[in-house]
Amino acid sequence: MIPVDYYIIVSILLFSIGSAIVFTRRNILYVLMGIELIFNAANINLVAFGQLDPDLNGQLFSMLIITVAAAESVVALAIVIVLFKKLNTIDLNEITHLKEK
Amino acid sequence: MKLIEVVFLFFSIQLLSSALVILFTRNVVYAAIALMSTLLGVAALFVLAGSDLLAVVQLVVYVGGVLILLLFGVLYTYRDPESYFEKKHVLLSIVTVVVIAAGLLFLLSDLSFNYPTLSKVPSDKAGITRAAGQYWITSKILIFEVVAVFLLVVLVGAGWIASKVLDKSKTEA
Repeated sequence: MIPVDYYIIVSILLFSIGSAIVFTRRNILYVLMGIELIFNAANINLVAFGQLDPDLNGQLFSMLIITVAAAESVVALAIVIVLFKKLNTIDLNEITHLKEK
Repeated sequence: MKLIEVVFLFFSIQLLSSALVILFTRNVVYAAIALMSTLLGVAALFVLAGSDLLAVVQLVVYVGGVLILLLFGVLYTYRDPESYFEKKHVLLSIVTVVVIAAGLLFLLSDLSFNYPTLSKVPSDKAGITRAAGQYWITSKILIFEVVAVFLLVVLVGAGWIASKVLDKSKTEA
């Protein structure tokens, strides 16, 4: 069996790469991909800690996370499509319509 | 080094390097393909952790569903990739990754997990799929139903947002 620490290290690195994508990218689609990476880092942790649990709590919870992440991605894509129809851009620096002029 | 550790190392390097491709590439289509590679690597790690059911769910939901949806979004909103690019972006991303990873790894180095090392997963005998299914329809049925209703609401809501209802209200105003 692989030690839990290895899983945690991989998940830390994946989480930091995902949050760097969320912080630095200007295209909304990259930000969505970064959020997916963060969800996956959390899932790796849950599965690694839950692998010896006879009640399967970690794995059932991580199945819930996968479902909610899919739902989040669907709604976000719908919002992106509406934004692109209305503003003709998905650049986060150009979507400033709520800002005081 | 045992064989399973070599396999683990291979898949973690694969998923982390494809995540770095997402961070540094300028072409959003390449980023979507690299995301697929990352998700496959995560599914492999799930298998190594003894959770083959979750690996299949990961393949079906993420690679089969979310990724196709993202690719559709990429193609629908495609624009010149250079228009999003800034020179300070690369340096800023490296700094962010290093700072967050160093902080969390420092926290991890202070922790020590008193974790038993077994050679076998407890639910091996019944089969993990069977056990998970029994948990979902007995003791965790409430969560299961709530998530089902939630998914229905999300489907209807996303369809409503992306439909022409919002366009009409704009032209009337």
